[in-house]
Amino acid sequence: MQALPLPSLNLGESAKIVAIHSSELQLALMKLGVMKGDQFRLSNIAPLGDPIAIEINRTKISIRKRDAGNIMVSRGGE
Amino acid sequence: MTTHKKVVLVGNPNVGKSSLFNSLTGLRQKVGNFSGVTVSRKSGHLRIGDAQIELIDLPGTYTLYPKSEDERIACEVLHNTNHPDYPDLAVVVLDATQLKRGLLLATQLIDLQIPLVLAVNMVDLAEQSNVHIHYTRLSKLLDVPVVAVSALKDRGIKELKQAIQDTHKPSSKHILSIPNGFMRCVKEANSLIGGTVPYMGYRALMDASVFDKKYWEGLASLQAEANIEDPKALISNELLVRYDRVDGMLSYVVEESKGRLAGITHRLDRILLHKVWGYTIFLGILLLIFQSLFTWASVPMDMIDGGIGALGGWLEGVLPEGWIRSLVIDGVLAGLGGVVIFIPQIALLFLFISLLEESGYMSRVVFLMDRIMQPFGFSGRSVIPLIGGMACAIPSIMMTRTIPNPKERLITIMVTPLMSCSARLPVYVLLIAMFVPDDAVLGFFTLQGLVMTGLYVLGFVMALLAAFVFKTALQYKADGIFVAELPIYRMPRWKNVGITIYQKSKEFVVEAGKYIFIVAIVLWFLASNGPGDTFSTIDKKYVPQIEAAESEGKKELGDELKYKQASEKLESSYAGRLGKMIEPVIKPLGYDWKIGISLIASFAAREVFVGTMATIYSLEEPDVENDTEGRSLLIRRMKEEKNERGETVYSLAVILSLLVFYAFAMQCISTLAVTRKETGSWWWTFVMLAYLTGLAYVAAFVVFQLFR
Repeated sequence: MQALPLPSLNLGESAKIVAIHSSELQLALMKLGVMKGDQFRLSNIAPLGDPIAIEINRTKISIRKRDAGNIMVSRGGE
Repeated sequence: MTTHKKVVLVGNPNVGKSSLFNSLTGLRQKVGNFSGVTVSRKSGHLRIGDAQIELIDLPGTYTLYPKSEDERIACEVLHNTNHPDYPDLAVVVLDATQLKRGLLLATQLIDLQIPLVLAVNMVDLAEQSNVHIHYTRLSKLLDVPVVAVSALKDRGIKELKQAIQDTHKPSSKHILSIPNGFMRCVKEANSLIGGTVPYMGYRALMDASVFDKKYWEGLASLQAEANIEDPKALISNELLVRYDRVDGMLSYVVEESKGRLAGITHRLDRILLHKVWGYTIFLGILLLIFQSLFTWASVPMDMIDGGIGALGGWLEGVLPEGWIRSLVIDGVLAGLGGVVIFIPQIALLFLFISLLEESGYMSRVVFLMDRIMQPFGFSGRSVIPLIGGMACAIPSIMMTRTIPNPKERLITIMVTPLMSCSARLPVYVLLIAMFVPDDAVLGFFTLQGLVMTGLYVLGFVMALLAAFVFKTALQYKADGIFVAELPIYRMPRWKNVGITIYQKSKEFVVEAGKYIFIVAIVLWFLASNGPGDTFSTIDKKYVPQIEAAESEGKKELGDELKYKQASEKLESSYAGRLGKMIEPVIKPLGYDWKIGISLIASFAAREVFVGTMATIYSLEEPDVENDTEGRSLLIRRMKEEKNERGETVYSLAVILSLLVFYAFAMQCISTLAVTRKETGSWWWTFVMLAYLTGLAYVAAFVVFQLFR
């Protein structure tokens, strides 16, 4: 499966986190319980396109689009 | 024999730690500060069996590697055995639906060998989501007592108390295996900081910041000795390892049907985060809050006003005439009144904010507003204090504690007073009524209403501009990482809301109260005393006339004379003389010394402007918003006023200049007091005073010169 940046996903699509290209972002996400290998769904996009929210681990996490660009994902999953 | 035990509550944010704290301590809690920082320290007491427990609620933290000041404080407490709050026992509060995340922290605490009790909270929510947890299995795996609680439903509290009483020893498990290559440096780090547990030393090697700064140099060289070039990578790795172990445990402990989020959250978010409805609803909620504030707050505020007035009247009858009586009534009582009058507004505003936070909606507001706020140096988090500032800056500045980035928090505090607060309303109403006709435009919008709105917009725009300037001056690039949780919607926990309101109101009264009080006394002195025997001369002039009028039954004449007497006294008092002294400074803005007195008097609190003007013009203070007759009378007197050249003092230019001045000027001791408390710095408080006064002066000057 091709790895692509998170913002390329369409609303409602499910994907899996394959890599996080920023150590600061990785740490910030890890503290919220989000990390490589986690399955998620792109659940919301703010009206101005930024930030976005993903449904993951029974909760929602909002991420700024610029930061989301550093998250590589592969499509597919439940 | 009573034993004393120090227990801390730790856990991720949003797990209901505060709820649990409240359940355990009730109102037997107090809020203070951790020394040297502006992070709140909540502590309380409870008795379990024959033990006196001091319970401290530490700020929420995700891991023991802190990201914000709040988290740092929590970590400092847990890493330094010499810290006054170092606990005998830690209760780790976990969200039953987010066990993986919460247990990460627990494993770190286990490795620090702090005796633990795990309180799995929100079990009712877990049950709703079909998540089933085997608590005994978890307890065995970690060798730590595990209690299921629901702070909302008051379940499990007794069992939790029992576990707190019974637990003395730390877990026997070790989660993280420290690589052998580090062991030597770990041991040396431990002997340096006085640590007894391997993980403590390892932790010190990775990140020295939570330890006493006297160890930093030594730890830095040990870190180099251990060839640790990229501690961040090692930390990430450590967390990954911990998550792995936790995952393994959870597969044995938790049974869940692979479901989606509670349907309600989804459906609500579809509307609340909608590109049109989302903002509309937000606006609607804002309007509701403001309307309620203006309507509901005015009832207790009027009651307080009335109460203070009645008390003053009673004292007037009881105390002998003289300066002591004047001090007590016009100084002390007025000062107290000035503090207490804010409580309804603070309480109401915190009520609404609490509800929004508790329900989970607040995070959606942040989500909607984040992008809009960024160019000005704000993140979505700043929206709440800024908007709250339109009601009252005081609780809003208190609310900025939730902004994690210190620079952003400072900018928000500095700029909030520019949002037109409700105290400016009487001033606006009076001045607008003087030059704007009461015509209706576009249906129910009036011309006056539009001008009022214009002033609010002016304040808002200036706030954004000022934020931009501060952002540049502080070299703050708002490009930090911002990730946040949008939790499942839940019913607000009313007990929490109530306790929050009580705490914040109390905080304000105690903290701001002392400053407001002092200033009120000073102003009283300035306004009630004149040099030499000026006052007694005035009394000699008026008292016989007043007595004559009253004995002849001419009450109206008597009252009129009384107001004239008050007016002359004010003019010759120290305050009056100050007004005359600053006249040359304020003349370029179009003001005379009478306005000058009002400016000085309203320095402490804006709404005093109206009362002072009334006194100067020998009138009783009108309730400008409701008493149109009294207001018209004052306006007429003001309009009749002519200066030495025979021109009307209150020309359009002067009124506009005054409006602009009041829109920007820092005339609220309470705000300054709260700013001092929240920033912990006299310097920044001074900066706020200086820049706002300067801005007001320049703007008023420009406006006056433009329109004259």
